[in-house]
Amino acid sequence: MGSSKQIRRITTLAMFLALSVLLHYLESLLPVIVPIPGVKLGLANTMGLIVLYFFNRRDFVAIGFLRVMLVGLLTTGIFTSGFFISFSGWLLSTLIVLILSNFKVFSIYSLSACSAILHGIGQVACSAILYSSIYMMAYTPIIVLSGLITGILVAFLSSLLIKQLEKTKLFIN
Amino acid sequence: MKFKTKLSKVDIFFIPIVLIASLILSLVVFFGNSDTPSAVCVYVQGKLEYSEKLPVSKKIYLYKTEESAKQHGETKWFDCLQADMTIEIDGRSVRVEKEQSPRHICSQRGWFTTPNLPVLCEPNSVLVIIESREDNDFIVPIGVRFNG
Repeated sequence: MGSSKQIRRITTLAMFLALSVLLHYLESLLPVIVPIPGVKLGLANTMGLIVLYFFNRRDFVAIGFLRVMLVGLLTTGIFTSGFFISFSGWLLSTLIVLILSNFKVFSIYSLSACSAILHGIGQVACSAILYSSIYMMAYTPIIVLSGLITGILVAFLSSLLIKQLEKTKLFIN
Repeated sequence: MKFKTKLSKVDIFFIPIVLIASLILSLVVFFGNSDTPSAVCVYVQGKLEYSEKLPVSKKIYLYKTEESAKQHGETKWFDCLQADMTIEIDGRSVRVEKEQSPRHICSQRGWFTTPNLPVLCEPNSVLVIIESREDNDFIVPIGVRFNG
């Protein structure tokens, strides 16, 4: 890959990383609809899905990891319980996306819904471990339900953005 | 890597099944809980710090600093809190009345009565739960002042 293409690639990825952190911040300004930890829209995931679509799995993992670290630094702090809860959610959701993306039968809707569901389950499981309370797992059904709904919404938004970005020819090397 | 951006046959099969299953299980968890509430337990950083048999009407005060705790005649404080915290118990209902957190998810939850469904207050590292077990070890309450 030529150096100008490499620079363009890194710049574009950095832009998506910045946008994902910004979306995470903007979402935190929205009023809480369901006051249960782990239930959230997850707008930042649109950037992750776009990166996975236009780039590759390695970039998808890198952007997601850096987003969790940056958001941790800006909000909860690194290596706090809040950070570990957030990190475990990201880890599980990324793993499921990496597995499912190997199978062509799964669309953006399945990928996003499974990612959101596993993100919530990861967070609840980590809370259950950190607080030694198996009762935290009682939230699993509501986390699955909310993850499914928000995952579909995020997939719909991402598919609209992907269509528009494809028209711009921005990612054609 | 490209993937389908339109609904596939798998989605049409998978989404309704997960939706119905999670909806039924959610209803069971929230409305099908027949356990009898026996005590309110407050855990700070995973350690049981306070428990009280129900029904009771009390307020639990958790203090962030030594100064704040001593001001109110208490001996325990918790550095992990963002600010002083108040938990209110009214009969068999419990709520986190006052807490400091970015989105106030914990206090916005309001009154809750369902046993074994914990309320987690992050980043305060506080977990409040109405337990249904009968064998509670009742420890010396911390930061407690009776109403009135």
